[in-house]
Amino acid sequence: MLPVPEHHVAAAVTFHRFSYRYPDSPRWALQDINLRILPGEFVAVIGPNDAGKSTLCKCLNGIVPHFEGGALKGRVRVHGLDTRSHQVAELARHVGLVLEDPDAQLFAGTVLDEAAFGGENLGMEPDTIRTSVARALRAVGLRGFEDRAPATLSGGQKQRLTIASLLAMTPRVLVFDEATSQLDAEGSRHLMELVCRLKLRYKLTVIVATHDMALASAYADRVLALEAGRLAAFDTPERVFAGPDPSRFFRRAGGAASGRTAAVAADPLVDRCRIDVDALRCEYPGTVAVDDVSAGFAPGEFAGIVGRNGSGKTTLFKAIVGLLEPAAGEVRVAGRPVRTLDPSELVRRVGYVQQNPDHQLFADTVWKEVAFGPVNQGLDRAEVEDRVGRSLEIVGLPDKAQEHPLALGRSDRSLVAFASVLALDSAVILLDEPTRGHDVEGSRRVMEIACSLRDAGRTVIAIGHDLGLLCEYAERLIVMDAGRIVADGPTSEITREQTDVLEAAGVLTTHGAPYELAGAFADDMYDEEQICG
Amino acid sequence: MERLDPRVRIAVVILMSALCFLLRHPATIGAAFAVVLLLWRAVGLEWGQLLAGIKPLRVVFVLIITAQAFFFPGDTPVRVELPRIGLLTLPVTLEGIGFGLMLCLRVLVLACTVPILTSRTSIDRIVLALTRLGLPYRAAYTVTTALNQIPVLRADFATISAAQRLRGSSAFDRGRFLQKVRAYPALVVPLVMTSMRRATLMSVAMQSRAFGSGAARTSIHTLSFRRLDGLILLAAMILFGVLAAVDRVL
Repeated sequence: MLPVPEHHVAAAVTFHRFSYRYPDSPRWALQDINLRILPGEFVAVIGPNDAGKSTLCKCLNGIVPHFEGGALKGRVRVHGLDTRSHQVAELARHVGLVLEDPDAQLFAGTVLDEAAFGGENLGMEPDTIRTSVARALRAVGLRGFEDRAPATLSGGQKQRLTIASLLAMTPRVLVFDEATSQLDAEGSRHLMELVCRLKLRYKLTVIVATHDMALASAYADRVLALEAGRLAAFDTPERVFAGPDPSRFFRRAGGAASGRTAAVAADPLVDRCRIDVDALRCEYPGTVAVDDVSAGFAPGEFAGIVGRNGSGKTTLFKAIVGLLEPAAGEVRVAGRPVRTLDPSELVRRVGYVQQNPDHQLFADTVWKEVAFGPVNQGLDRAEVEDRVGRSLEIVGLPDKAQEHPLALGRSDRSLVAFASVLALDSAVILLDEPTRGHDVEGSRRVMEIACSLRDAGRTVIAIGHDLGLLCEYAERLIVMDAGRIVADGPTSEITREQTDVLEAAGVLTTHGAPYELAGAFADDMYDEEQICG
Repeated sequence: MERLDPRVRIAVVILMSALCFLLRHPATIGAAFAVVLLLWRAVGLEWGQLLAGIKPLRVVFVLIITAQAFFFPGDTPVRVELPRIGLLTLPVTLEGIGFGLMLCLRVLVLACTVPILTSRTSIDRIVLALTRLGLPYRAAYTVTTALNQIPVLRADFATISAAQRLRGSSAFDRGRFLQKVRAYPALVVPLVMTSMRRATLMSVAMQSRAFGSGAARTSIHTLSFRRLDGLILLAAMILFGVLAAVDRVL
């Protein structure tokens, strides 16, 4: 039962002189935080990477300190419960936490079991669980999916399932820790619209940590800005974003605003190379991932590829580097079919920076990690050192050469992975969502690196979800939808003249006014019934 | 089949595993393998999945047969031309090869038996069955979640080896043995690190949903041992008994 307070006096969440330090860390992740969040409020938590957004989210359901350990001062109360003296499992009745990675949060065999997991853990009556699960699944639009395996759902559906599995425990506070960052623009908008609707209907308190300024200003009642673990602002979006230099909340703490990355010198030795994709068709069992795609990429070009999750962008990349055997058509690198290229020759021509840096980092220093490729290429020591030095210079990490790559933060790990591909000195660089895990400033830096590579005569092709950002840097835009290229041309032309195509491909990031949206929902999809009681 | 009591499945799998090591004659182990194949179809698994499951075992089979051929105490030497390693000469024996083959057959039966447990049934039902059979809930959930993670690990491994190959490492494909061994950290470290990161996140997610709340856990599933379950269990026991008896006679 969700109690609706007579007067909104009792706070949903209070932080009282709260500070927290992770074990083995010399730095306080959160420092002297004082704040009150009222029931039914939508609060966006913003700030650059390492400002403490994620830590703040984890404080709300007791993961900090019960799971993480470490030292803390002051207290956090959620609906009157002190998170120090109540265990995570107890707090779970009141606070639901949605994490960034949709896959890591789903572990049951079916959607039904997933949603029932919490209630079962609390020892609720099976009949009660079944009722609340049915209501929760209806509320997020997953009715009829009960017997599906969670692994077969799309990214957006997975996050909706996570929400349903929390709603089934009838919490009063829902916390989202970067929960939309792996979704495409459309998926992220749909999820936030759903959250707004749930918030209004069930008087939920919603706390969302995000890098997305548009999202924060579109949905939040108040914006909570963190800077190096301290509360920098807590006010309405209008006031926070109108304040002095709001961009500082999206900037890395202590880092120089720009100029950390070295420009790539125009290198006449770069072996220029064309990529031609010709009537390409790629299939996975049961689906056509890329269908009749043709495109040519010239040296010195920076092309951005946008499209929904599952529209075939990554599959296209995999075909370009020969990881996939096309069902029809072909990819030619420097005029030769990719399948006829020797692996060492392919590596010299095309470098592929994958989405997740953790899928490739293994060495015990950043230097060795970046040197792995050049050493594999059989270069002599001086050449290897030169390549590693230059690559680290380009991504702005020369001072971290002797650090352990796995001990770095997410954004620096991405940069190390980027540098390790740059060290191959390939003529063409493929970037698969290179800005994931970066804050706004970090994302800009990555885009600037891409531009300087282009200026040095390399071909750069980048997949991205942030249309606005890509448009600022890439001169050519390719829009993919359901495996096909639906638009391809100069960025300015497409964004000016083909907005309908962009809209249909689900890549426009216009967040609407939530209160109007709440009424405009497809009502056959979402049930009107109360979730609880 | 979906409604089959998972306890029956567990019992059949345990019986079959025990039987594999009890049987001594190739004919009866062969018969046991035939029974497993029948069960394989009965629970709705495809032959393609069978082949995909067996394929990675090839290396294990070669290792088993080679090791047994050399080290099994036998007295029928087989003439093979092998380079002498120092003063050490080990005769390859026919008994050794035979024993190796038998061992492979046992491993094959075991490997094909496990998927029968998990196919077409929800992990939750198996967890429930395991807890009803006396296994602590946390242990049961750990086992089944681990099983659930195998396809995820496989996908991770494919991505990781693709990433390293695209960094010019060809040691996994055509390097010499030592080069392969040296290249292994590039595959194993990312795999272990990604799994550990995911495991940490997963345990945060599970705790956020009250895992280990201390309350007596309930389940939306009910296990009912129906007459058909009893019949299937009885039939399996009789069949296994007959196999064991025939094995003694042979």
